[in-house]
Order: sequence, then structure tokens, then C-alpha cells
Amino acid sequence: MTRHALLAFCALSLLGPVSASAQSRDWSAASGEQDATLGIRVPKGFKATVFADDMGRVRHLAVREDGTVYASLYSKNKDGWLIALTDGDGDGSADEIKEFGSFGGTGLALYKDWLYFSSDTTIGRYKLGEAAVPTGDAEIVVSGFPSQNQHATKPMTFDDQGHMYVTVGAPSNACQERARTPGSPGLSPCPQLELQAGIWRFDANKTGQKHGEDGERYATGIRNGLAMDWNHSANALYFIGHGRDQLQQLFPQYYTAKQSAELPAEEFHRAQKDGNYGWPYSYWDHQRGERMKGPEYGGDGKTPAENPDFIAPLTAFPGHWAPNDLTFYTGDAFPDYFRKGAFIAFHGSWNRAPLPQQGYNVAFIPMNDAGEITGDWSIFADKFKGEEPLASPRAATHRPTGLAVGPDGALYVADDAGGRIWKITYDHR
Amino acid sequence: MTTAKVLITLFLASVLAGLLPANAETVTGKAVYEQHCLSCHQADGGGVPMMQPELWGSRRINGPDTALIDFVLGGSASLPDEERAYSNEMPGFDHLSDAELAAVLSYIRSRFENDAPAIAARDIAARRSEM
Ligand code: HEC
Repeated sequence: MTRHALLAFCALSLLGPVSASAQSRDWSAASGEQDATLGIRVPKGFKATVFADDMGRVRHLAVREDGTVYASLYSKNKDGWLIALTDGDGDGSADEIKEFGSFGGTGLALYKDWLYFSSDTTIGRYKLGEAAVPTGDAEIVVSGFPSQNQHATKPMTFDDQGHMYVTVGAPSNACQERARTPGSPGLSPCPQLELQAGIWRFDANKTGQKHGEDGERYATGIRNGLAMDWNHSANALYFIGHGRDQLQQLFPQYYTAKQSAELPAEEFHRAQKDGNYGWPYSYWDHQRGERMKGPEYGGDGKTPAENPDFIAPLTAFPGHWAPNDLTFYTGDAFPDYFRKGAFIAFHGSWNRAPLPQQGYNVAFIPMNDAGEITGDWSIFADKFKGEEPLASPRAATHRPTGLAVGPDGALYVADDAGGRIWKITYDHR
Repeated sequence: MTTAKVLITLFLASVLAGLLPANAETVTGKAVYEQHCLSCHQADGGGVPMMQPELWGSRRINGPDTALIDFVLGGSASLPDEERAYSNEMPGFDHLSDAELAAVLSYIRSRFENDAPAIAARDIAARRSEM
């Protein structure tokens, strides 16, 4: 392929969801019907049940081999920061729900016999026994993450070689000299990249590690990659990052409100060791199919980024959708189309105002065993918002935050606005 | 041009003028709010759960002038750590003019279920000289 053909191909593949006709069957939410009691819409042939409701600010999910569902919480519920849910009679609705855990936040993952979880500054783990709720005290696996208000969550995922990957978000929007101030230039080099704005790799099995002393920076230039997952089939780490905010408010001379709502893209990447993903110096413009120089660093909305090291995304989503979790479909209960593909939970935008808010859905990217994208992304579950158009995030009924695949191949989806967890199964009809 | 065409042109011109940002002489609280505050606090002042507080019936907005002015000039960096409860920063707005700040603070004091007297440009100037 010539360079131009390749560019054109990349641009095409970044255009967005393809019409149903390009696939043998429409596996998008649009093929299904919204169910009033569920609140959401899933593709025809799929069924959703409310697994649990009003659970608080539920964030990430993990499902154990025996079917126990674990959920993390953005803020503590009455009896703890974590929830264990079991469905003894298998009717798709949890019948035993227990809260536990002395600290927490968003991060949550199962590794061997351990349940890993994190606050904004510390990663801990509980040893799991027979019972759903662990009995021992939490061990500290990594501490010392800098405390920060923005992009502070510390989600983790594990490879098959004993490593734990942790996203450490950027403590700012675009590393400006004066935070979120119109016209303020970006710091160069951006000092925040030293200990933040990237993905760090730690020993998965060692307790007492400290950020900055132990572990190594695996990838950099990532503003907030809290939607991250290890793909065991492709043996690679993937993430989808949050693009920067407020192009129009900070640089009204270069961007309209409409451009600022659409831009920049949310970028989906296969993380390369030592890869650089361009924050804060650049952002991805999915409409041009190009990486652009950030306005804090001399950009004007029309000038491409110069640094050839900044990696282009595999695919991209519209601005500010806020990817909150990523999980690969490892089950075999869904149709073949879904095998090895990526589900993404989009929390939904706030930064598209004054235009209507978007996102608030679960998207799907079809992929093969090698982790290559095989078709265009589509929306797998939607109607979480509750009203259309949605002016303000506060009015949304549900906001997707977490995903996990159960041992029976069901997909679980969490929501931190209504505190709901859905279980989505394929029932062949 | 027919009269109808002239009327349509005039109509379009006035619509377009309404979309342009207000210049310094006609600064209104609404225009400042829309350009500098709306993205975070939203059109209805409802904020964004976990990220930016709602401005509805706010103690800070209805409280003493000086505390409100100081907060908006300095942003959330001016708050003690234990008062920070949101996953975002409120930037300081000392780059806005006294007139712009007075207009926007008077604006938020008169909506979003707030009810407190307007703030004058000289009140802003007075706090600025203290900082
Ligand atoms: C980048 C996002 C952002 C922008 C833009 C922004 N704010 Fe804020 N604002 C915040 C955050 C975050 C807080 C909460 C700070 C805290 O308590 O830690 C806040 C708090 C406030 C409060 C205090 C509310 C209360 O009841 O305590 C007021 C008043 C306020 N902002 C006014 C404004 C005004 C006026 C503007 C525009 C000139 C503005 N804000 C622009 C993020 C923003």
C-alpha cells in the first residue's frame, strides 16, 4: 500500500460505526427494543436482567469462576467500599449482597486467588477463600501514587507473566502553566509525565511496592487510560484514553463550540512498551484522521503534530464520551461476531455543553485472535441516558462505568448514576 | 433585491449577531457564564456529579462577598485540602476583568435558586488589590 492509500484507509476506518448492511447481521443496540423495566436497549437476540439496583456509585466489576460478582465503589457505602453479589438461584438477579472493604475507589480485578482493588493513592488486595466476602485484612500491593483531583483513579489489569499494569492519570487537562486558563501555554517538557499520565508496570505478586521507586513506566502520554485491559489472546495491553477538554473555552480563536464538542477523539490503542501517546502535546482529530498539535503548544486546530513518535489510534470515538472501562469478550455464549472483541463502557460526556451530551452507552469493536480490529465499531447497549436530548449529565438515569464477563459468558454492566448492575445474556431469539 | 430578500437578509444578520460573543462594552453576566463557566457547571447550573458542584442554593454564592470573590479569583487551589470534594479543579479567574467578574457573580447570585445582592466592579478591584 502506498502511504496515501494507507492514510486513506486509516481515515476510513476511523469514520465510525458502519451501517448494518456491511455486516451479515446487525448486532447493534438499534436492532433491539428498549425495555422500560431495564432502562436500556440491547441487540435483538440478547436479553438483559437487572442483576442489582440502587447499589451506590458502582464503578468497576470482576466476576469470579464461581459466578460471584464483585463491584468497586466511587464513594463508600454504609458497610464498605466493595460489594460481593451472588445469584444462588441463577435467575439473573443477585439474591445475596454484601458490602465489605476498608478502602477503595474504582480499580478492581481478580488475579489468582486475590481480589485487587484501589483507592486514588493505594492498591490493595484481599485473599479470597470459599466465601464471597474475604475474611483477612487487606495487604498493600502498591502505595505512594501522588494524590490528585483530576483523573485520580488507579485501575489495574494483569498479564500472564506476573505483571500488573496500573493507569496513573494526568493531574491536569493539558499541562498548562495555569490550569484550565484561556490562552495559558503548556509546560515544556511537561513535568507531569514523570510520575503520571501513563501506564506503569509492577510486580503482580509483591506487596509493599512504592510508585516512583518500584515498577517501571510502560507507556506515556496518556491523559487518563482508566479503560484498560490485558488481551490474553493477543498477549497485549489495550486501553482507550480520555481526550482533553475545553478546546473552545481555552482557545476560542481557533475552535467553535461545535468543534469543541466533537474534538478531540477518544483513542483506542494497543499499548506498546515505551510507546508515547502524545498527551499533552497533541490530540487526535478523528474528523481529519490526523494527530494535531495542541493549542497550548502552538497548535491552531489546523496544524498536525510534528513528533513522529506519537502513535496513531487503532480506532477512535467522538469527543468526551469518557471511556470508563474496557473488557475483551472471552466467553463463548455470544455469537461468533463477538468472540475476542472489545466492549467499552462510556460514562458519557459533560464537556459537550452547550450541545447535547453524548456517550452513555456500551460500544463494541470486533477483533480477531491476534487482537486486530476486523470491522467498524457499533453501539451494543444504549438508552442509559433516560432522556434525549440530554442537556446535563446530572439528569442521566444511568451512566455505564464497569464491565466484566462471567464464567457463563454473560456480560455484566455497572452504572454509577442509578447504582444498577445489568446481566446481559444471549438467548438466541 | 426584493423587499422580502432584504428582510430575510436583515433577519439572518440579526440572528448571526446574536451568536457572536459580547464585546467588552456590552459584557453581560450571561455571556461570561456561557464562555467561562458553563462547560463545567452546565447551562442549568447543575454541575456534573463527582466532578463539578451544582451552583444551586449555594452557601458560598449567597455568603459574604469577599469569600465568594476570593474563591473565584483564586479557584479551588485557594481552598484547604479537606474542603476539596470534587474530581476536578476550579481554575482561578483573575484573568477576567473586574467588570466581567462582577457581571458573572451578580448573574449566578440571581439564578440557580440563589438570592443575594449584585456585586460591583469596584468590589472585585478591592479584593484583587488584597491578593
Ligand atoms: C474546569 C471546570 C470549572 C470551570 C470552568 C468553572 N468551575 Fe466553578 N467549580 C469547579 C469545581 C471543581 C468546583 C469545586 C471546587 C472544590 O470544592 O474543590 C467549583 C466550585 C465553584 C463554586 C463554589 C460552589 C459551592 O457551592 O461551593 C462557585 C461559586 C463557582 N465554582 C463558580 C464558578 C464561576 C462563576 C465560573 C466561571 C467564571 C466557574 N465556576 C468555572 C469547576 C469549574
